[in-house]
Amino acid sequence: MKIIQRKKNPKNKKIIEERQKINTKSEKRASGLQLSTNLEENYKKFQAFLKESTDIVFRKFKLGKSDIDCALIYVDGLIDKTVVHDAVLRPMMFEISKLVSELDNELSADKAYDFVLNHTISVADIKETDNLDEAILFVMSGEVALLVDGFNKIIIVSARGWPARGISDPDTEGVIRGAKEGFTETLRTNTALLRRKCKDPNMVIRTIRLGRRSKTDIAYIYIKGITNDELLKELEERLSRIDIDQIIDSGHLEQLIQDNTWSPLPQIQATERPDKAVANLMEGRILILVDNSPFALIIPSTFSQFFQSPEDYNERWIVSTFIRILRWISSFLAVFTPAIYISVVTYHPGFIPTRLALSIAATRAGVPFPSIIEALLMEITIELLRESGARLPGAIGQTIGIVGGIIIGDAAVNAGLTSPIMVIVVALTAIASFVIPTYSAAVGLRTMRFPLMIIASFLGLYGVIIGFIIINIHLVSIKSFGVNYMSPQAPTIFQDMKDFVIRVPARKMRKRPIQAYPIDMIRMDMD
Amino acid sequence: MNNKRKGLSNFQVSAIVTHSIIGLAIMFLPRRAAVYAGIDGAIATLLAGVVTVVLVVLVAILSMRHPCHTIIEYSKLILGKYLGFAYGLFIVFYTLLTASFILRGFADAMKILLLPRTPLEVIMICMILICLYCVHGGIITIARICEIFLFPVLVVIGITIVFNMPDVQLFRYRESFSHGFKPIIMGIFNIMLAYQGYEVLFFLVPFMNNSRKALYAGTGGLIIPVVVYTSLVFMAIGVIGALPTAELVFPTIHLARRIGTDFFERFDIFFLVFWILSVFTSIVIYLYMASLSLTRLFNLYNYKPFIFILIPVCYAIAMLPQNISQINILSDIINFSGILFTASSIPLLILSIIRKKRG
Repeated sequence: MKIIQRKKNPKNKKIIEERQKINTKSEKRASGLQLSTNLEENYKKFQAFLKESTDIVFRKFKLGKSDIDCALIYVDGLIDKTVVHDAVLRPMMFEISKLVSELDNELSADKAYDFVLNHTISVADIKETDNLDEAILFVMSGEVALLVDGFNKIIIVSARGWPARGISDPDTEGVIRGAKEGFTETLRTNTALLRRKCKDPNMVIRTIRLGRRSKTDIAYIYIKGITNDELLKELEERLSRIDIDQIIDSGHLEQLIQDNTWSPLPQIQATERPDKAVANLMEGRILILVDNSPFALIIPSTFSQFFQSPEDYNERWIVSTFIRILRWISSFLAVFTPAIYISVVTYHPGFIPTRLALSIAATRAGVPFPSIIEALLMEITIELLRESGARLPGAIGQTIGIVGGIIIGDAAVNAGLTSPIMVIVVALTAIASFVIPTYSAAVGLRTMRFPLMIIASFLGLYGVIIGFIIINIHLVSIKSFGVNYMSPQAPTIFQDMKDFVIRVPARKMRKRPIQAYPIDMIRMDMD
Repeated sequence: MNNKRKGLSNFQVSAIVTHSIIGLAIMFLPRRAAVYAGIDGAIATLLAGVVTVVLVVLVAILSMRHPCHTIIEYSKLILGKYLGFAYGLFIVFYTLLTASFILRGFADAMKILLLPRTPLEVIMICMILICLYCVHGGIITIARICEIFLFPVLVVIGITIVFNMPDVQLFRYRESFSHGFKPIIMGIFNIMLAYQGYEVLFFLVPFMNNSRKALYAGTGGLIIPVVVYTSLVFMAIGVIGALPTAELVFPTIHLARRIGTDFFERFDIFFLVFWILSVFTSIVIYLYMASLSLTRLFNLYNYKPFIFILIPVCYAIAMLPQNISQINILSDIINFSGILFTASSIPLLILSIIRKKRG
């Protein structure tokens, strides 16, 4: 696998360094500050950073009956208050005295910290830190900082709990037969969904933080023993090069780590489905989950993957093969139909049966525009309808689709703006593009048809075939993390053809596809 | 594991050889065969294919003796510095001329068959620009494009051949061999032009993963054109007849037009569209050979700047001929230099063995 090295331009090095200085100035950082043993000082340090915000809660209290000062710091709304009340505050304020007397012990100042840590707080997930910077980061990500007087350590109690959307149907990748759950915005829920599907301890979930200000949690998940180390190294290398204030979404991260920017097609697949994600992990690919995004990224991805749906593997192979063929044909139709229509009507009316040509000519007789204007008008209209339907709330969106589709189409024909055949072509293109299971690939393919229409209006079918060649040259020359985008078609890998246009019976898929260069090739042993 | 996949696979080499052979010639081949060999055209085509197989074997053996170099480098080694340089210059000249010839022949056919009112210049410039894009991608891109286009091109040619089968009238073959062997031999010499393109093997061996398999990959890639050409000539003569075939400008298009059905009323346009793909790959491969030879001639390694020099030259040569007879002169020059080029592999091989040059 060829590793693509992306070097920072040395000319820009100076500028980058200067910028970094400015950025660190405007960021409040606590890395220089040390924790002291005095609670009051530590408390003030926290307040210096966090006092201005109204959602930060500072709470001081005494430990049991003693005179030892304690303090809680957390972000209101990000924590589960019942946990803090029942498992932290109540034991520390009331039950601790009873406990101390039962153990015939005395709550002295030098033992208080250990006693609190080991006997009092009944929360499973507890961390310790002596770094103020880290503690502030923990507080900001929804944990509770607990300060005890006399110690320069902070106890971090994990009591995260915030209002989140529940697990629901994946909207963009619906299936008829298959799991109906999709990823949500919470990273932890998403990793839990994956764990439920794969109990292998070799499935590693590593987390890093990206974004200087947003500190977004990013988890990359792979299966040790299947995933190629070079792929992993390459991903880590690319992630380490990112220096940005905020990672908005997985789609944003995708654009920061992808290979080729000058392409309408996605080189990294995004999915909302945990079952698809785990199936891809099993093929040696790596999954990236970004906090606050319900879309997981699958790397590396190839073009043929965009035509696969998890449903294909749940249905019988003959049915799935039929649907696969349908998808490939529809992708061709979505890109080329309007261009072919324009070139046939303008240049080669002899290409189609004479009667059809005559009837097209008859319906086009009243249309005042050349076919390219007609086609552009209608194609742009349908893109407008699609976009407005997607932006409007559910019920209205559907209504707009129907109203727009039927009424505008019919009215346009009656008004003599366009011919009925053009309406059919446009409708066919729109329907065909929605057959492709991956949204971003479908959008990319749909975009290609506009330049194709324009070149077809100049050169006819010759222009269409030139467009076809250019698209193919582009597709074979791009890569996704060192994996050829058009494999298994080019370079031809006959072994991987099993899951390409034809989906062979499940019993015949004994080996993993070699697209992602997995270490362990055997998927199934059968006698 | 990963080193294996850096170069060309055997299948890719076969695909490149097939695509460089099948190109412009498929349009005119039945006419050429019918003109020179009459009703024995199919036999002559097959025999020309056999002769070409022998030549490919020679080319492959010679290349496999020098698995790390292209012909430009090892011809210098075998022939000496000055003679080798002249020989390399001849190769550049030949490949560039062939690319121009294919471009011109293609543009003429397009103008007659598909786009009668579009200027020749526009057709040629569009074609040469996408060729530039493809050649700029390097041999790996070219190989993959060949792989992808192999299937559709073969399917369309296959449909043309298979659907014409019911109309073959065997009585047209009744007088086979009646003119003796002279027309067959004449035919072989003239049909050899259609098989030109296998010279690409001279340039592919250094890029192969497994250069020891060059012989099998090369002949494997040649078998497809031999089968396609022979059956096409057989169909043309069997369906249309030897004399009418010799009169037709585009006999293959005629064959394709015959099988139009209610839905595809003009199958010939469909055929033409896919023929563009195979012509495109031929031009790309010749341009690649030309730019690579020119680069290696001066012991340079980055061939990409040379494409930008060669593309306008190629276009200018393609625009030179003013009429059909001048195009025919160009075609004769190419035919002659092509035979010279491949025939030169015999003395090169002998010299290489005598002078014990390897590697």
